[in-house]
Amino acid sequence: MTEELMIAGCLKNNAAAQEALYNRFSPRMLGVCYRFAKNREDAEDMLQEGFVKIFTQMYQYRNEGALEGWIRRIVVHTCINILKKNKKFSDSVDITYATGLHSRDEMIPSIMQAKQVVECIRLLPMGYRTVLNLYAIEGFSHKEISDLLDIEESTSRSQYTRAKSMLEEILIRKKIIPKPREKSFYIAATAPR
Amino acid sequence: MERRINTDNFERFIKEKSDEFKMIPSRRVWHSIYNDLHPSRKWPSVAVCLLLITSVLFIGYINNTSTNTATTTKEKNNNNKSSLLAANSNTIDKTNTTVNTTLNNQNTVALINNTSYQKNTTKPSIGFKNNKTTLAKNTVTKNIADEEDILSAEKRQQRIAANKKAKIIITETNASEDAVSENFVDVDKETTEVVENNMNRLSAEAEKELSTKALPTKNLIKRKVVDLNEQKAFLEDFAMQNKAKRKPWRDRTSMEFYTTPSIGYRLMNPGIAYESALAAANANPNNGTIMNHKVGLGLEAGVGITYSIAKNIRIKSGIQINVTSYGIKASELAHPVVTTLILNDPSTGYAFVSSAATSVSNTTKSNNPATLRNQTYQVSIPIGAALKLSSNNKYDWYIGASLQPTFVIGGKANIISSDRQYYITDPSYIRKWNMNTAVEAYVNYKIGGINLQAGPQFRYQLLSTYTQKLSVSEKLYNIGFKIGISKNL
Repeated sequence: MTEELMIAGCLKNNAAAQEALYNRFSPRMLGVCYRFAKNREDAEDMLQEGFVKIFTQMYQYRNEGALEGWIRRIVVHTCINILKKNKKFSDSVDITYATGLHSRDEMIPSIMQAKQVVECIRLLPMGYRTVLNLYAIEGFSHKEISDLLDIEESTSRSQYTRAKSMLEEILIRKKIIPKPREKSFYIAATAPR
Repeated sequence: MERRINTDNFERFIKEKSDEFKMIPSRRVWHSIYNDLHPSRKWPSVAVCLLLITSVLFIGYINNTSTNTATTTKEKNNNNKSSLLAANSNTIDKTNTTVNTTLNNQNTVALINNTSYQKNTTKPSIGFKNNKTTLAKNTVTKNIADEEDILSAEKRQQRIAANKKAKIIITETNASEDAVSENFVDVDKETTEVVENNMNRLSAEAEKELSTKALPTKNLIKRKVVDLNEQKAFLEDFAMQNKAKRKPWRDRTSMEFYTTPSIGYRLMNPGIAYESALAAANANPNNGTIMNHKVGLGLEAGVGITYSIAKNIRIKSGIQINVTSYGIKASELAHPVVTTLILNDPSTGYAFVSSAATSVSNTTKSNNPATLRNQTYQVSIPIGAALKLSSNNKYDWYIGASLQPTFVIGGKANIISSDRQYYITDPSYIRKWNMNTAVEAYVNYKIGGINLQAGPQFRYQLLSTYTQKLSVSEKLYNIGFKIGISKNL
């Protein structure tokens, strides 16, 4: 089913079209939710809420960009809204130092590299993780992040800097990436295939 | 979203790897989303589940019944041909006897094939067993009989080297069993030994010749095994194969709930025999006395099903309750008086006057004014149609009409006396069965998955409120405003 047909069907509240759209985008969107959530169950709850919003607000999609981008933006905002409902999250955004990092360090499963990277991101404290997810992966600016999370822009910057260095340290320790002096690794890893 | 341009290699690496990451959500998520988006479709799912369960049970019952009959008949026929063919496939001793006898009599092909089928089919059929009769048994018996016929011609051509065939077929049988299911492999060792002993006596030349001729038999075995597996798979997956699909009629059908507050009044006719009855009774009616009636509030409420028979036409039916009412201004008398009613004699057709006592006077100039109310409570089954005049994205305009066979549950009847000076209260004159008709025009407003309806309605009672026994005829009518809600099933 093409995207146009799926969109037209969803606008008519057609269940088959909705399921087709869900089947196409849900795996990637669950990956997005998983980076924000505490566990898989929370991620699935975020995904569910996100897709309900997508289907009910489909009429707002104006074919001006990629459908996946539009869906992803709704899912990310849904994740943030759900996180913000949790008071602990608000507190965690402002913490300076991460705790409990070493105790969870050994929990990373040795599977494919993408999952390893995501699992390493999930080892970060919630505040660090959220800012890093939004800035490095979802492409939000610090200004947008500060608006979204109700924090200072400077806080977003400092959180991101710390998150980045912490993640780098974890990835190096896990031998997923080499030490910083071997910079050619990144170039090779991110080169077009 | 403002895209940043300055990203270092580390960020790019993280983003790329994160974007590659996918997870398959559990089906629970989609079911939850579906239920959120289509809440009204839960009950059809439950209904379909119940229907499926009922269907499976029913089919199971039918199969068992037909198996009993078929097996009994088939077994009788087969007993005349060969007692071996009707033997229970679970009995290994019988199988051995079968093979030995077969080898001696050089009827190897059919009987060993039978043996192989008994092995193949008996174990998978355990789940379908019911007492002594099983579906598998029926299938085996049928297959044996069919195969015997098919192979009868073949047997004549292959008698010379039957023992060699036995070897080949047994080998093939074992292979077929392996292919069917690892769990069902159960080769009889004694049988194999007997066959192998016979095999030793065979020459290499004859074996080669027969292996070529046995090819059709091998294909037949495979085909039969496939057939049996298909039957088993069909039965096991019956529920899935009979999964109810969304029927086209459901898109055409909708359920509606509606109510129509109305004002009601009556049309009265004193009756064709009125004057003659008065003359016969030597009565002196006060023609100047005016019946002081006033409109009353009524209500109609019901639930119905509509079905679109064409693009612009839909028919409907359902059940509804009607409440009719109108008021009478009168006054209470201090003492009851005797007055008369004009009645019809059903046997002769003539009117006559009947006496009745009352304490209600048809005058408002009194110290004890009273307001009476003539009411009926009805249950009716409207049968009607609606025509769509026009429509757009949000609105449809309809006109419709219906006939409503009606049962009158009860009510209050204050009947004017023959001289029009009194009212006699007697609800026993109310007709039990009546017929209403209604015409309406309404607009259908589509919002979400439901339709809201609103429009004027006129309902008219075709038969008199009172029985034919009463000369006075009264027909009620109501003018109301219908408000309804409907939803596609």
